[in-house]
Amino acid sequence: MSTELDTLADEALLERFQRGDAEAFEVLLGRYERPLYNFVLRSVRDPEKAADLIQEVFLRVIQRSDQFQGQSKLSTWLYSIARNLCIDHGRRMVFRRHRSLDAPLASDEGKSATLGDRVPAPTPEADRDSIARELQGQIAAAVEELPEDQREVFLMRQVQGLAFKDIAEIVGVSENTIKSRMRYALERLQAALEEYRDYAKELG
Amino acid sequence: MSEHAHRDRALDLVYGEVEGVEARALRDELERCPECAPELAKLEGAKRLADALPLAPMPSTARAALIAAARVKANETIAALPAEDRRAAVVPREGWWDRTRRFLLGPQTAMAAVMLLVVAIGVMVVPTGDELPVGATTMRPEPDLAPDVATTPEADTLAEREPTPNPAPAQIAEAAEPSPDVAANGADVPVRRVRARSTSAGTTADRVAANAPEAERNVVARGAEAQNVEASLGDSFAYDGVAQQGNLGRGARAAEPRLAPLEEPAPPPPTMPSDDLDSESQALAPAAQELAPRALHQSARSRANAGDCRGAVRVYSDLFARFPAYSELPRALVEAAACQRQLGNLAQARTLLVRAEGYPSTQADAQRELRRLSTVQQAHRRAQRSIPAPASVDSTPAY
Repeated sequence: MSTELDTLADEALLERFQRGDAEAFEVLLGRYERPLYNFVLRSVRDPEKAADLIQEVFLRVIQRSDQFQGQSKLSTWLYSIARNLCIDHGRRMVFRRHRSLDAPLASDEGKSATLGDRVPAPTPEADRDSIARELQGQIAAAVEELPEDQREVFLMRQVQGLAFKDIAEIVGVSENTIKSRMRYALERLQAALEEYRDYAKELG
Repeated sequence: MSEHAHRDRALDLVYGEVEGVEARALRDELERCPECAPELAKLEGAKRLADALPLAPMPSTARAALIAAARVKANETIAALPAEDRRAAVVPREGWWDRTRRFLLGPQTAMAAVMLLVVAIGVMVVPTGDELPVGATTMRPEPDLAPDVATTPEADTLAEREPTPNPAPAQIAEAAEPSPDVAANGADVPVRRVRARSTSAGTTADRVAANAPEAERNVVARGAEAQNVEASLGDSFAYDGVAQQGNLGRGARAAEPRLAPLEEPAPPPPTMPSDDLDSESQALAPAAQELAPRALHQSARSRANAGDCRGAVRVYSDLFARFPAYSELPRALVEAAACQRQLGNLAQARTLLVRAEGYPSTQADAQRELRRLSTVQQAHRRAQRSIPAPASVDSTPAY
């Protein structure tokens, strides 16, 4: 049913939604929901709050779709909204410390269980492979440990695949700065995951 | 080239920002450089690790709420358009196949199929005058329609009894009790034909058809045929969305009793005997009466399955207005509510679900749908509240 819509660019889909085509929005949602949700989730570290914020992002798109003039990419607009909402949330929560998604849960919930474990893994194979699962947990924890400015760049580039120049537009700094932040983020990750280096080579 | 420039170019290469010939040339250049080659390998290793970052799916409740909100907005947009633009907003994506499919799945096709089957069954089942029990008045059939009956001696015996034009009540009652020879031979033949096509209604249809005059027999034939048609259409027209939730799927539907219990049983026809046939005959006449509402119901389901929720809602409304005593009204209410929800008409959906909640058979489904609806409405209200509130950071920059 949506085959034709699937081939359209994001901006064309939004235009169709502006004309009253709800299916076009569903296709857009399918393209962005997972990476954007993970961007928000890793920023706020609270699945419930992340769900609220991701709804807020898309609801703003729904209500203000006519504000999008097509002068930049839709992904840039979406991530700008998401980033600003996360910043607002961070300011409100400045005195509240959230547990890491990978921090151990209460003792009655099992010693090894973490909040991150409650986040479903992307594939069943990951569940079966204990090393892969351990690595995933470590990576997630390492990403959360990144400084905010590096983490957001890393997530936009790594998870959504945004180009460095688009990230620069969203964040409002030069492309070179973005690349530096990305490089620092990768170096930190690699340092944090040194013990998995051999495993990473096997992945490659 | 400075160190930073090399690193940046390595990053471009690792993340695919340069492609094709340029990428190959850059890789050659970086691998030849003693300082850049380790940097490239390091970045590629880090990228492989980063690729293993787990991604959590967005909660399905959030997705459902967003889709509902998008439909509400889309409806508002379309409603605000002038009539011509409104049509243009809907028409462009509908090709010739969509139009053909819509026509084939439309109510006219279902009704035509039902009528054709009824006529075909009527032609094949209407017995010769020789087959009729005492008291039945009918036209004499074409000889080739039932040659086996016409040539049996029992049929001849019956034919001799046929001329009674207006049977007295006593004779009718007598005819209701089939004589052993008739039951065993001649008059049994057309009944068997019905049974051959309708196993589900076999017993009732057989017994009533064997004993009733022609008018009742036609009702029986239509009733049996209606059930046949429903059985043949039921699976292909199963309403996905509600079938899954309301156990109306293929298996569950097959397990349903073919003759639904009646809320207001009609009085038995005067020519019927008042013994054990009562309950069955009471069930049959309304079953025949339910042909039209069932056809409408199937039509609405087929529209909903084809994605034409707007059309389905129209047919459902027609069904509710014309057949308020329809036996599957509660289920239809739940289905119509699902269509209204998909269209973004949340208030109408709620009204329908509240009605459905009053029926025991759909109470659980209706309550579950009402809860789901509340989630959607809350999300919509939150969206509306969030618009005028100024954010400390401009959360929706103009792009």
